[in-house]
Amino acid sequence: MVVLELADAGTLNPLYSSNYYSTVYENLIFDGLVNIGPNFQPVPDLATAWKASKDGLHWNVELRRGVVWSDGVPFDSNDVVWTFRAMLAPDTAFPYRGQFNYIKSVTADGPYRVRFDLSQTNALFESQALNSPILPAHVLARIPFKQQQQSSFGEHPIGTGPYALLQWRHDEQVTFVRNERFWSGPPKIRTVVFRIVLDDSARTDAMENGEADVDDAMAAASFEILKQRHTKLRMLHIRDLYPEFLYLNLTRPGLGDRTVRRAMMYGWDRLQIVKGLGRGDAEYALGITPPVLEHWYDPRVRNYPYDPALARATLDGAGYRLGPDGVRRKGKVRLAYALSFPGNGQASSALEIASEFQADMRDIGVAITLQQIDYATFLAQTQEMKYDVALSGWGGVPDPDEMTLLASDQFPPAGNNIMHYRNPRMDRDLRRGLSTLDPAKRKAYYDDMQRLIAEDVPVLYFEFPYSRAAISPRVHFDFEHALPDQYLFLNVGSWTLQS
Amino acid sequence: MIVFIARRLLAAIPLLLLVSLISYGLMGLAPGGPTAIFQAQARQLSPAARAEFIHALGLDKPWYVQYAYWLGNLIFHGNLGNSFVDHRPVVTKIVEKMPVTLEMLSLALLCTIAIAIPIGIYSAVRRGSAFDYAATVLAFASYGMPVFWLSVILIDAFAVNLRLFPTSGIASVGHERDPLDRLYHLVLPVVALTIVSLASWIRYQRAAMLNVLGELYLRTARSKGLSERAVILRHALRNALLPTITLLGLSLPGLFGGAYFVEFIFSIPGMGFLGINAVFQRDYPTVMALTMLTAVLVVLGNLLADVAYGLADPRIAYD
Repeated sequence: MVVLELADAGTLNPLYSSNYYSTVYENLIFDGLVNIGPNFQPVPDLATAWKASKDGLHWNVELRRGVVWSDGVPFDSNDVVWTFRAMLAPDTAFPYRGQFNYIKSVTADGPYRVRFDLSQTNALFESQALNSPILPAHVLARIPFKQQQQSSFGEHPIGTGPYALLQWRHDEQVTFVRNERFWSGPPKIRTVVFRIVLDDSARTDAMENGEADVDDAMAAASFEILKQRHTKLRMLHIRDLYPEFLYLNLTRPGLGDRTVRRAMMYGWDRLQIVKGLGRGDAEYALGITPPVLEHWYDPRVRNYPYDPALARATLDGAGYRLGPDGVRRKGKVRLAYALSFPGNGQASSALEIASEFQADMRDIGVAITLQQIDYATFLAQTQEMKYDVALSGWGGVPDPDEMTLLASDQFPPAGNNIMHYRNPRMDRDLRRGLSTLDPAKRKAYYDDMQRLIAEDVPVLYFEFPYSRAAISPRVHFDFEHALPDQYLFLNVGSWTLQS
Repeated sequence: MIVFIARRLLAAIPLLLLVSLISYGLMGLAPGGPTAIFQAQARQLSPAARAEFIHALGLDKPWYVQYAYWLGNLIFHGNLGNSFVDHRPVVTKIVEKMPVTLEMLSLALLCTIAIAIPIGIYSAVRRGSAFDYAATVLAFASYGMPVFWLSVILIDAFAVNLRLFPTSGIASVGHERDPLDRLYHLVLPVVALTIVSLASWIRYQRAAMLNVLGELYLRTARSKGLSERAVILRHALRNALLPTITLLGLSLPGLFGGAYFVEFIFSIPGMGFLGINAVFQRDYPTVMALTMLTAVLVVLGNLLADVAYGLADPRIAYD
């Protein structure tokens, strides 16, 4: 099976995964204790069962027996304990260590049971911590934590997953061969080759003439063209977790005023962005909680239908009068802002979105100038609060938690609240939502969070772009439950390929 | 000669140090830190974690402290460091990408020479003719043409509209080992590189030839009754080629510079592609290694030009 990708992975060492593609490949090579199942619920992987104590602070995890690493060495609790110790040791410099700082200790209780002790309850323990890829202690434990980063493991990984790395030609192709010893039986497809092809027409050609079987990063335009040509390809629109929105710097005069933000929502034809621009490949957003998380998503929130007249009236009512230059002002506050968006020259859809926004805002008397900058500069600018409005997104995880984005103790550099948004009720919701384990009780907090987001509009939300995949007629899997993005190949072990 | 080369190489050391210092400083002044470690992350990395990671890499120190570490590592351990993207030694990464770039550049250089030298000579011999004027206009047009613009135009015309050549990449899917397929992919990039470097070669060759044509020994040759063809090809050409040899060394850095644009636009996974991506991701070790490589090429190219000139022209002596 040949898969087309846009870029190469950095390293295949999960402790230092450097980009999206690292995660895609690591999903083939490694297993977590739990896996992400259909509907994003945790399902057994290397763990067969896991159970929390009453207070939620102690977890016992039962491990699967008879699992071997791709080099033939048996897997046991040592591997799990070592992996978590490595993740938590500061010397390792594991970038996500902060997300797991509530894990106090990890100890083996015999070869097939592991005990986790937590310093506080955390609702993300199952979906995030237990989902971490487990690494082979027999290979890595002899390397001190400080030197892990220099090890060649990222080039020669060994895992328990359905596939093993066969050959890696950097920036050209990565070949995986099935792990004959995979615990749930050898995968049906013998080899999976990821080819890096940047050019869009080359990708569509390869898909059309059967040289490639999967393209999960096709540009929207080519995707539409292929769909209209009625090829034999299966064109999948997969609902995604990742919201796109406009960050607002709430410390800027005007943007700090909720009335202005609401007027901007009324005055921005977001449906046009979602359905128009020749794309029609996104879900309309009523907030930043993904609709695909059906258990959590709550559409019963304040809505902002496109209504420029209402937007103008709202601004008039709040005292923002139209100036002779077509820009509204109130006292010294002039509603004129720069919209920053990243792009190294090829992000045309970001430019389209930005231009539409600019035109719509002009209509209601808000002046927007566009500022396309490279990604590193964009990050620096937003983290240092040197921006007005910024087009980006945040999230993409199968959980409604938005602590680092919305809590008032998460202003940069601590977290990603680059709006400087502050609402005590929101803080309370987020805190309780994260520490409550019972999904029914948790839901109440996140319902309130979604309501507050719609009331306060800390960001101008507009869409959840679909994840797109073109699949050749040779390839079969459970299309109904296809997962987006890096999760697409999560269950590749059960896919089949007709010759 | 050996003394001359040694002296030039010694003089290059402070120059290279200065280049490295300025490059490192400029890089440090560029906004934003390394993004490679968290760009397009599947899982969002909190700014706090990012800060911690940057601390672990020593990137929170002032740029001149980082520079000192970098230089020390290079001088005392001969180590150019590891990439921030995949933690592999940057030398490995560069060596891996070198063959593609060298293949493309040598093809471009060969094409340039094969086209420019005859045109230059013919223009000089037929000075003032329609051909000469046409060649001059062509040369100036090509000289003013930015290679990135030309590349896009070529793609649009020959790949998108006429569908004669692939738009990008170095190989078709499934034909990664096919040398003909590789050549086919290299046509447009090589054409782009050739066109933009034609100008200087044509002008240079024309001037050199004109210089020689005024020499008295050509009059002697003619008065011996030699045919004009023999005069030009046997007597004038050999001498007129001398200055052009210099250009060979001097054009190396320009070619590598062009490779950055061309490889990026055509998505050819060579050193230039690596370099541009490294800049976007602020992968300092890779950027520095490539910058230093280019600086060394400039120094060596100049030296090569001088040495070649000396070897070819017995009138030039170095002491």
